[in-house]
Amino acid sequence: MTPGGYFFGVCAVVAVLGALATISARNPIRGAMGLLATIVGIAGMYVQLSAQFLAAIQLIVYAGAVVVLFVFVIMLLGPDAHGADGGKRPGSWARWIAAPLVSVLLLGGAVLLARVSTPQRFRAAPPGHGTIEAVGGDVFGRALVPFELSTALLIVAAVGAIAIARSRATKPSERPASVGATRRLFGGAIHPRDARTVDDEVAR
Amino acid sequence: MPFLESHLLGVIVAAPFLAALALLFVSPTRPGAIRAISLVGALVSLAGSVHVALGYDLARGGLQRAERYPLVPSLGIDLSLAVDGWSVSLLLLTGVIIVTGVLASWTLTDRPRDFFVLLLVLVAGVFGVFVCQDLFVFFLFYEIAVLPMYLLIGIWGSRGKVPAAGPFAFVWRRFDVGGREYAAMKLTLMLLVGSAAILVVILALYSAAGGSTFDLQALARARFPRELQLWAFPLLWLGFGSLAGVFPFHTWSPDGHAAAPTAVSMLHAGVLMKLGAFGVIRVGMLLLPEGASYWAPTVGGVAVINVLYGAICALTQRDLKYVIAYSSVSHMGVVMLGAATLTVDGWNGAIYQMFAHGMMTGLFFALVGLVYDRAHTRWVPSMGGFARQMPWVASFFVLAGLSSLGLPGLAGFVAEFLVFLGAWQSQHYVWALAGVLGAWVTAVYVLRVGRDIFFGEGPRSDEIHHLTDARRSEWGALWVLGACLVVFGSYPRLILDFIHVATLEYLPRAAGAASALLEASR
Amino acid sequence: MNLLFGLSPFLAVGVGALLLMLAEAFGKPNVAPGVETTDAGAGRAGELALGAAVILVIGAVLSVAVWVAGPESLPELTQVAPHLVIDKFTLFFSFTLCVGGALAALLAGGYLPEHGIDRSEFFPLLLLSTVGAMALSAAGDLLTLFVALETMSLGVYSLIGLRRGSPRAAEAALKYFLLGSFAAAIMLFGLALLYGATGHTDLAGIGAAVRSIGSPGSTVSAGKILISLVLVLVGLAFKVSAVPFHQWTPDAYEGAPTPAATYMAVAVKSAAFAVLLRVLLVGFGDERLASWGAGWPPALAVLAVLSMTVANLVAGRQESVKRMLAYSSIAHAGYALVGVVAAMRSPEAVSAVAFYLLAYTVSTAGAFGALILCGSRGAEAVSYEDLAGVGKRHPAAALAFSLFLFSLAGLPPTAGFFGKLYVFRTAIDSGLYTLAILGLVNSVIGAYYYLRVMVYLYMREPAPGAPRAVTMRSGFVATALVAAAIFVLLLGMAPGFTLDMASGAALTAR
Repeated sequence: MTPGGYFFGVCAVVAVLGALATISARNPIRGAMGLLATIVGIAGMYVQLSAQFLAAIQLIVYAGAVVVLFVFVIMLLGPDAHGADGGKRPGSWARWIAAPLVSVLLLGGAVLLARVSTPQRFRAAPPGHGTIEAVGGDVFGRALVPFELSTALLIVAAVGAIAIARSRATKPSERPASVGATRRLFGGAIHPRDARTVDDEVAR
Repeated sequence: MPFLESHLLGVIVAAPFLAALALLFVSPTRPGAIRAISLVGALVSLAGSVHVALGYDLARGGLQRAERYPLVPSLGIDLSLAVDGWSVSLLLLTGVIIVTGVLASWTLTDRPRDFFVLLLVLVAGVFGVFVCQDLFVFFLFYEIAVLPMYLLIGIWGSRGKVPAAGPFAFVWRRFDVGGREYAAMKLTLMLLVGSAAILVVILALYSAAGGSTFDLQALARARFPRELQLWAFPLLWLGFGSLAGVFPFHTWSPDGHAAAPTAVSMLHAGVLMKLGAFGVIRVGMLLLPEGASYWAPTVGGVAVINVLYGAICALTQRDLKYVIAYSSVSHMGVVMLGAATLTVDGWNGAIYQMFAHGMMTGLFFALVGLVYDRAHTRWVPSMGGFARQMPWVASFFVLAGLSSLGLPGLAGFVAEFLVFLGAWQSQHYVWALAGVLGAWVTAVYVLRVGRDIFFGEGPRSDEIHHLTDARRSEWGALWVLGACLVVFGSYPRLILDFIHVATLEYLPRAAGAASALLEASR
Repeated sequence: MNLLFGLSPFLAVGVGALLLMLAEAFGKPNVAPGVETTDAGAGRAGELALGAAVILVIGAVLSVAVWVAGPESLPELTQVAPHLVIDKFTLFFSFTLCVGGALAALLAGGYLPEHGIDRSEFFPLLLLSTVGAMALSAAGDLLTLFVALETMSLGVYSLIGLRRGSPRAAEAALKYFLLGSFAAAIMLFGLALLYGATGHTDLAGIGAAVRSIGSPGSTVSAGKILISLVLVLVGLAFKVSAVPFHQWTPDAYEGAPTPAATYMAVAVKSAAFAVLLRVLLVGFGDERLASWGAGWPPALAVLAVLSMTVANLVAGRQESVKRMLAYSSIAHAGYALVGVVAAMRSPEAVSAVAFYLLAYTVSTAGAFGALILCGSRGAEAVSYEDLAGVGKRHPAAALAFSLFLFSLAGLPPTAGFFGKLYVFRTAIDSGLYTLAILGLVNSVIGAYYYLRVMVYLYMREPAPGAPRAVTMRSGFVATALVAAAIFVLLLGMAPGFTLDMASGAALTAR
């Protein structure tokens, strides 16, 4: 195996382990750290693909800013904050069947791919590939349209996030008097879980 | 009035529709104006139909008074109207039935405006089907005629007395069998299944004929491949047959007729079921002659089941409307039997049976509605001796009954005789015998029901002195229909000439295919 | 200048969204004197709804204008290709999307104030999401495709979550968000694989590479193409909510504010179908993949049959009209998929799907609107019982409802009838008799539950003591319903013009 192969192996293992830690950790801080590991692992792969600029951005924006923001939020809420139900949820059969099923399918697909197909040979990266200039040239030249479209994506994400956050923060000032079927479906408790949420809101 | 003359068919179709539109602008609190507008719309169509019949050139025959209005040119869909001999007779029938139907529902008080709007839209669709020469628009009119039925039965219908009994009683209670919502839903869904089958065939024919025209004459000239004909014809037969009450797709019909209000039953049994049979002949047998001759024995066999099964069911019913409804199933079997014989007499008889049965069953349902209106019951065992209070009603009931069992001199006789003659000629002797047997059973139940209701002593004979006979508008309806039965029964050529011209023109195509088939099989 | 004109439908809606945000931020709140509020948009749902609707109508008009001018006569448009492909196909869909969005905005203008959801963010989100949807229908490149898909989806996720204090809405938003992100991730995986296999991100290049499979010197691997095709199909099936990827739909529609559900049902679905058609026909349109033997048509046929059948059977058992409409939208996805399958053989099927989606858009928006109209503050009409007797007390509302239900059921003379007819006709032309018959049988099953609404509207009275639905009064909802009704009748009675436009749209997709 070439040194590049070892490097890729290490990065991949770090990224996958980090992802597993992110979704399985009970402690939110550990989850955030897992995410950090994933991001660093992926940044390593970018370097190997001669996308140095992307790797740097990945480290600065995601590792440096986003994860730090997550950690801040977690610390503000208190590092021991679990879900409202104490971290224990009733297990559903779907979880125990669907998750392994999907994993096996994906794994099988990946193995199949590796067996049946020859990898696409791309041209060697031209000199300057992955530098700031090259990326800038692409973003403002060839891929101007998707780039401009991503501004719409960012605006919609920002507005949507604020809208939802605000509706959480604002107390429902005037709850419509629930009548009849409306009560059954929206206003009141039809499921014990809903009942608790409504009562919690009222109690707060 | 040259405009009126050249657009007469359009006027006939549009008049009820325009009357319905006008009704939308009338205040619902003015029943007088509502009834008057409806009657005018119906009368315009009837007058137009009579004018078309008088002006039809029997010597020339064929399609006359062609009108064409482009609808969707890119798909080759035109609103093209024309009449042949069959259309003329069925136009007359529809005109008479709608006028008498409006008269029979003169006293309706529950939301009369909405009722008449739907009724007139339905009739516009029926007129459209009979004069339309474009297959696609034919289907559109067919749907327009069928769909208002849902609301007409669902809103203005009544509940029949269907006691939940037997091993499936829980299903009956679950679905409220006999209720008007059940009847309306059952009718609509079964007919929509039929429509779906028809639509598949229409699209397949359109595609097979080159995908540029829906014109019936053009499609009839296109020779469809044999395999297509063999699978398309049964689909069409069952699709249209679901409306014509073909066994075993007839089960919506007794429920629907029983739950429907009087005028709707009249129109439905009198005209709408004919649309189905007309569709089988007009679209199925004329466009797919090879398929028709291949399947004719099956069609005839099922029609025999219809005749006998309908008659026996009518024999066992105790609800007056169910009796008449099953008799319609039985009589529509005669129509299909005549169509299946593929002979001149059989086809003449089939179309004439449509006409005669329409008049007769219209009269029947008008009478039933009258009796129900007065006595508030349709349960035969609880009636009796009504003839003393309502002699006219009793007389007309007997008249309709005699026509229904095929008494010579009344319209029913001519039709049934022709059909049995056709069956004999086509060497299906069993069909003819079964038909005669059906007429015999008919005689039993019609006479028995008539006796139970109007004569003898009923269980409540002391409570019936408040019953009254037919009044003005109802009386008019009864007289018109009764007179038609007698006149067209004693001088059938009035209608038969029209029918014969068209049959002579159309039959050779279907029969030609039949003889070719026979050649091939030898 | 020509470039600007060609892009004007997109620019109008995008710039309009920004202007609307400014107007929302700097306007004066319209609240009763004495009420303190920090929300500049408070109480101004009406104005904003009007603004949003006008912007979307302008977008629709500009789409038609560019159509009339002819996108092929604007050579500058190749500058933005393949990221944005402005052809008649795109323009037809952007017209549909703008109409659907405008109807949803009008409905929101009546619904939000009536039910105390005073969220003025609704309208900018709606507009931005529509920009995403329009870009999605124009996407000829994987980059644009994904960015546009996310723009559209993020907007919709937040629209659902806007209902304050309702656990149902939160559940709906979360469910849709999680499943939608999952689907997007699967699709992204497929897109990455596709790039890896072909070395192209533009669909035309991918199509050329796929066609080269098997020819000497080709390095493209058929296995990778197939797997990426499956992954992309799964992602798009989520977006069009085809069975078995439909699980989120009823919950999301039920929990969402009704105008948001309307928008999801019409715009998201139409845009997803547009991109599905383009990806399949341009990217995977070669003879092998687009054949009955080995490619996507059989897979899509299975999806279509499952969607129609399952959705129709389940819809009949619903007690909530909103859930019923959700299942009906799944069933309609199935009918449209029949058209997509037929597109493998007949180019006309593309225009059939386009026309079908326009008909579906106006009918569904109308049906949701009529449902909104049948309820009022504190008594939103949700279940069948809520509608009992409306036909007698409020004939206009019931009449409108019936018209849209007729159209959804595919009965003449409405838009839905011609839509179904056109789709099934192309299916029969392509020899897909079984699919066409299954589709027609299904539309009969569907008629059952649509007619069931009419049973309650016209033939039932509310049970004694049960609350009576009081219709709301709103010029916005009424306008939306009238507009939708005009479309439904116009497309049903005189479909010629629109059919011609749709068949123009077909020519350019391949």
